[in-house]
Amino acid sequence: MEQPGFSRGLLVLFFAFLFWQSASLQPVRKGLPQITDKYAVRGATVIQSPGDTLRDALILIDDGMIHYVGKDKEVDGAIYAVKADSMFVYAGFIDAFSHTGLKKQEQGNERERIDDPGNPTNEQAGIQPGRSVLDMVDPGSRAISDLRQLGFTISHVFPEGRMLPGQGSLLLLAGDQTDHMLFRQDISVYARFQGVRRAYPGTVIGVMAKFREIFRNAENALAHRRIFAEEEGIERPAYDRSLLAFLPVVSNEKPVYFEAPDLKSVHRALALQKELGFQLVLANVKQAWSADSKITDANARVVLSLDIPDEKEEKKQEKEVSEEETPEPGWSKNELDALKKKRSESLAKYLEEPARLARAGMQFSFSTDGVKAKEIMTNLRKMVKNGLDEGEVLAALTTHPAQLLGISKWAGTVETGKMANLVILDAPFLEEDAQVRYVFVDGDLYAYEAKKKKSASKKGDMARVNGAWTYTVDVPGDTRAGVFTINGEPGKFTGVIATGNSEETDLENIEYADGTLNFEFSTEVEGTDVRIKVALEFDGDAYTGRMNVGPFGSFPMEGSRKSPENKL
Amino acid sequence: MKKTFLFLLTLLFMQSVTLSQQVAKPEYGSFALTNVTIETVTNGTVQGTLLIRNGKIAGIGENVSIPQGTKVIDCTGFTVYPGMIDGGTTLGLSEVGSISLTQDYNEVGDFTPHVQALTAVNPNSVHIPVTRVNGVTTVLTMPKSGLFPGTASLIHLHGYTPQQMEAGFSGVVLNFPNSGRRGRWDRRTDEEVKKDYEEDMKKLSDIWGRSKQYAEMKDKETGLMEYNPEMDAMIPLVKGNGHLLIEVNKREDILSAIKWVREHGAKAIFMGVSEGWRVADSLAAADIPVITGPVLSVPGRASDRYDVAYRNAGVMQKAGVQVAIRTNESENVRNLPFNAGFAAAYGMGKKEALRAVTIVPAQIFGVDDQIGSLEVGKTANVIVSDGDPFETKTQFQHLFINGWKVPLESRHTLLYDEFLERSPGLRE
Amino acid sequence: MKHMLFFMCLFFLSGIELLAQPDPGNLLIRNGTVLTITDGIRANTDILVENGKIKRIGKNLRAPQGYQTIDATGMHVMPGIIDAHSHIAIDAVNEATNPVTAEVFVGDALDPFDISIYRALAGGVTISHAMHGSANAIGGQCETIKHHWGVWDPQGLVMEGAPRTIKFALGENPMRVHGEGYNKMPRTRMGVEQVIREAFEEGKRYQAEWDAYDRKRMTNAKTVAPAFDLRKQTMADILNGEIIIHCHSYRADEILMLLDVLEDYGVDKICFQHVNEGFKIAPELAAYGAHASVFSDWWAYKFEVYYSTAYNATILTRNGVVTSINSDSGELIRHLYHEAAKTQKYGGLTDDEALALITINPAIQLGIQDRVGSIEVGKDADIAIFNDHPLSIYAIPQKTIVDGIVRFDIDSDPADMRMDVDPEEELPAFMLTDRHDHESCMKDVEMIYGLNELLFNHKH
Repeated sequence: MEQPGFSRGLLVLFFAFLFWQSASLQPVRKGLPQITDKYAVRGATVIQSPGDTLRDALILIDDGMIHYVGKDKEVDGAIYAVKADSMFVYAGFIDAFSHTGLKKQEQGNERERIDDPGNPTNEQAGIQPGRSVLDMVDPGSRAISDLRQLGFTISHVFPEGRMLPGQGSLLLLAGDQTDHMLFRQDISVYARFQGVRRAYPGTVIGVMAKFREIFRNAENALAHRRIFAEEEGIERPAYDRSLLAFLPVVSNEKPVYFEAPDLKSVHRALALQKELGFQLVLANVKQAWSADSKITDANARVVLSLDIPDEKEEKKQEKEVSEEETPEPGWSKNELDALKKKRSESLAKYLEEPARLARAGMQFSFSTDGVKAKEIMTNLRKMVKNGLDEGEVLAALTTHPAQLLGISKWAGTVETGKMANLVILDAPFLEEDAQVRYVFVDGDLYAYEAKKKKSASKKGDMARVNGAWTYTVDVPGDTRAGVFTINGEPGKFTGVIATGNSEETDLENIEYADGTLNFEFSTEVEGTDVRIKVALEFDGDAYTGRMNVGPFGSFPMEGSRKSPENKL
Repeated sequence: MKKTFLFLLTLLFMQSVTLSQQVAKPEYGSFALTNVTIETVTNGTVQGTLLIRNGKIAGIGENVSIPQGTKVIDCTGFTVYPGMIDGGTTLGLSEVGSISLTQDYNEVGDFTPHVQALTAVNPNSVHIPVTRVNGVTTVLTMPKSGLFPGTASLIHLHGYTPQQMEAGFSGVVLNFPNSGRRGRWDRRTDEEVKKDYEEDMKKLSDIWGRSKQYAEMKDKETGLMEYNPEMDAMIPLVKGNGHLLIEVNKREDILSAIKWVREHGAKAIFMGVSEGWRVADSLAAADIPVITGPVLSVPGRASDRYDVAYRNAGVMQKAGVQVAIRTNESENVRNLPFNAGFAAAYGMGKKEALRAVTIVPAQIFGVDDQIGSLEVGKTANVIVSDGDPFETKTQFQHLFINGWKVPLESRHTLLYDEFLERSPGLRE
Repeated sequence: MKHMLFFMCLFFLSGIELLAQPDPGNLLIRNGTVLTITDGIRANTDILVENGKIKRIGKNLRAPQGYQTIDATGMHVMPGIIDAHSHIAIDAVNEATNPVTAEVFVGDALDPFDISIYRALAGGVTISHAMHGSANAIGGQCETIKHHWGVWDPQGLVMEGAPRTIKFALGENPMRVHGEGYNKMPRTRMGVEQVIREAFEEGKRYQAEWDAYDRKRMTNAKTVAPAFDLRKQTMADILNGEIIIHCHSYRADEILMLLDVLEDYGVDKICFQHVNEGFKIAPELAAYGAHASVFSDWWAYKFEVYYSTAYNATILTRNGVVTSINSDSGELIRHLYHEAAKTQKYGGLTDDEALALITINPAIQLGIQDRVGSIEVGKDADIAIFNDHPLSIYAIPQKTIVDGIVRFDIDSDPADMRMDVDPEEELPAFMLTDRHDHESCMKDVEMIYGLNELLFNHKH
């Protein structure tokens, strides 16, 4: 990074300038005037709940509620008709654990030197169990529209942080303001085995000791309050916010969502539960194979991560043949085979885990934390391929989380009287080609254009690079987003990129071949012209690559075809 | 006043005399070790007498005539071996591990081939007696940090000046660029690791290229060139005369180092080579000698069999590589025989393991005409033990370095003598 | 069709799962040279193990049906080796943020997937004392673990019923971390004493406070409880004799200091760890009944171990101090039998004395001598089998048995013994372990201080 003539300060300035407006360039939600809040969804196959299917059905929606689900019938009045012939309707999916839509956090005090590391403030120590997530949500966040486009309508959203980052709230995945999105506030406490840098608790052992202490003192505080209310001459109870937030945990009114992505964390959370006795939800679980009976004994609930390992093996298979001739020097074939076997056994174990848990009778939900939106459906299909029943998948996306979150009365199924949270696809939701065409969130309709089926786009199909593409670029300390558009054919491509100047910048030297797109553009920073070169590898409707900003270095860039979403 | 002072001075003097009389001093002269089993290493095992005169081995066998004035030491039941050689240590350059000011093997900079380990060897380091009483008489002591950390020296473990200790070999150390992480604290990303490695490789090739150019210029230049001691230190190396001690451990790096040595025609000795077992055939084919160790270390990869470090020396040796063993230690170079013992147990065999700490390092360093075996005319670096020198409980009975009979005393034995039965004992 | 096959596989697999009973730990070890430790050497002797316990020791024993038989002809059979000081199998070593952290417990952070466990088994070690590090004057509580390699539940490592232990640390480490690092007491050995005294005093008062509360509550149910403090509670537990102190220490003066403090507070369960200068005050240690767990020959890695001697274990033993040899290292733990043998070189301990240093003596120090540490009827079947006398440099461990189950077998070792493998990994990474990873005691501290970066720059 050390380049003569360019200070770090200038770099920051440069990016501030280059991407000045990009934060406001959210995926399009064309603000068409709302015509009505009455809808009729016609002709679809409705999966009311896992295993409960209705064909050629009619769904009537009014004012955010499902008013009718049943045989098609004549309907009077001004109703917006959603033609859903041969389509499939499911209850809107529920994400049981995530950080969806959080504003970018200031990373300020992590590096702060704490004078007395043994006695930090609760804030410094990451102990803020009373913190609500609501002030941290950006309703316009792309993460929200991305999830919605997949059919998710409710997220259980938590703040980010260390040991006790705060409380989870239920948000509907639509709305211009956080308050419009809010469904249930502060329904759960979030806990992690994550210490802070340079202060207590700094390690997992510190976190566990601290958790015990907070819990025990909250028990004390509960008793103290009771006595204080009843008697005179009793000293005032403490009003420590972390204790206050733990009172409903101690009295079993709020569950603790313990983030436990690995087996050891699962066991650690269960150990604390056993010792202290609270309602436990294991969140972001990827492995649980030795914990079944403990989970059952603890009456703990499980939220599985949708982030599952990649199947490298299959991709490598082609390479393997050529490697035969030149094996890794120094590794015997036996050794390499053994490694490969070990890896694939491990992979299988991860992939089969949801199916195994389901067989063991566990009712789990899913977390969308840590997984790219575009991988969610693929990963669900992988789980099915590895033995998970399709009905279980649907349940884990709908009825199970509804039950877990205590909202079964309003969400999780397609039934009269429920909230109008629906996802409508042109094929059963787990099919490879299934595309989401409509999503209802709380009665608001989002429509999506049908994309070309994948099979139609072959390698070298020049047209497939045409269109509008969203992008994000990871620059030092930040992520910037925007949109670029490509049109034309080889040799005659044209394009523009929205870089933050209110005007779009023309792209130059656009070349596309075999899935690789290159283009350049210029921009001016404080009187200096800077040439920016972009090289991207396309894979279907997504791409990854790098943006090279001359002397400032190059930065990873990724994105996908711009969501053709329209709010009606 | 003056008188009192004089008196005190006399007292002080007398006291120091008394003290010095308590300290066992090395003896020089003629010694005959009789009735002893002689493990020559190079010429089998013989019974009889080993004669030491004028610092050399003067006779071996049954019919050795013992000149007058020779001190005869009856060694019935004992075996005599050549003193062991540790092919890679920081002995004499380090005193207290956590105090950097006592560590003389980490010079500042990446390119300091001209700094000399011998300069900084402390002949009075407490570590030295601790080492030699365990049968190690000669070690290579090495600078450590940077790409070219400096020049290593072979030293005998007796003497009061570095020059008295100097044992006839020196070589420039090269820490071959490491394509992996450097330890458990290394938190660099994969990209950073790769980038650093590529930069290091480039730096290495730059340095080598410039040094070559410099050597050629120097040959032509008749006048005075600019003072450039780093480059001067490189001249013998780029000309293929000087030894390059290449520290390299990871499989990938060993293979690149072999290639690099071939391309640049360096006279190389590989050091460390912990993954040598993976590429033993390539090492043998490249005909590069290896000084490996510590044997007592954990496998480099979590997937490795638990004993790969124990087996490494044996695997390479059996593949035809010339293998010596080192500890890479300072205060515990004394564990060299145990490192050899583990290598012996895990595939190398006792005979080869003994060679790997005696004649093989001597050959690698080109001093096998002086040390590394018991032969008439060689330097009298000789150890006498009551058993197998690798066996843990074996006691060394006598120790000769350069013909000096060195007392088997160290801080550790002295503290033992003082404290086994402390006086006064428990205060009542 | 594919689906059909898949389900058949599933069915088959679950069938196996149902059939596979947990191994009860039944076996017969035949015809070995048995080093009992507490009852001499028995040639050509059999050991019958039932349900993980030693049932009989004798000649020509018969194995009931279904018992595995191990032919130990020509082999040496000894009790499983016990390491009284290690940091393997835990995810966190130091909560180095406060001079006193008695409340933390490394048993909370057990890691059953640490390959070091298997490597220790391959060195005949069946039990280790997983300790908190030495960054704090009073560190955390430790866990005595059995090397049940292969269990997926961290709790499966715990040696149920083993007494509680806690780590203390004197000298340079707490001085460096808190004094030099944070400018907090202790920066001197004087400060270390006061930090420890204060913690004991607080524990004592805390106990009194709760005692008073309990008394008051007898008459008035509406009494408000004192604030709960796990740190002070732990100190009170030490005062009540419920926890054995294992104190990292080097210099004679600081060891005497702690003995004084403990005497003042009436604490008698104390084992000094490392205790490089223990040899200087062996009579005092013996008189107090303090134990010592030492390195065989580590020294000079810091100033407080510069005046050391490898004869330490011998001097302590000869002066009547219960002494063990420990590893404090994932490397050394693999050859503790060799480390014990060094006491024969340095001071000439007998075979029994040397082997006691890694078996019954560490068992005594951990308070588990009634269950392990020797081969006796009724004890846990923790057994290590060697092809030679374990004190010989040429001895190679052949099989290691924990609670009657063979956890290491040299004849069936497929090299890669990892349990939890990253399914996305390429080739397993290579990492050189530095010889100056001495004192894994200070793990996690480096992280906090960025000392790693320092070291790392320093070393190129």
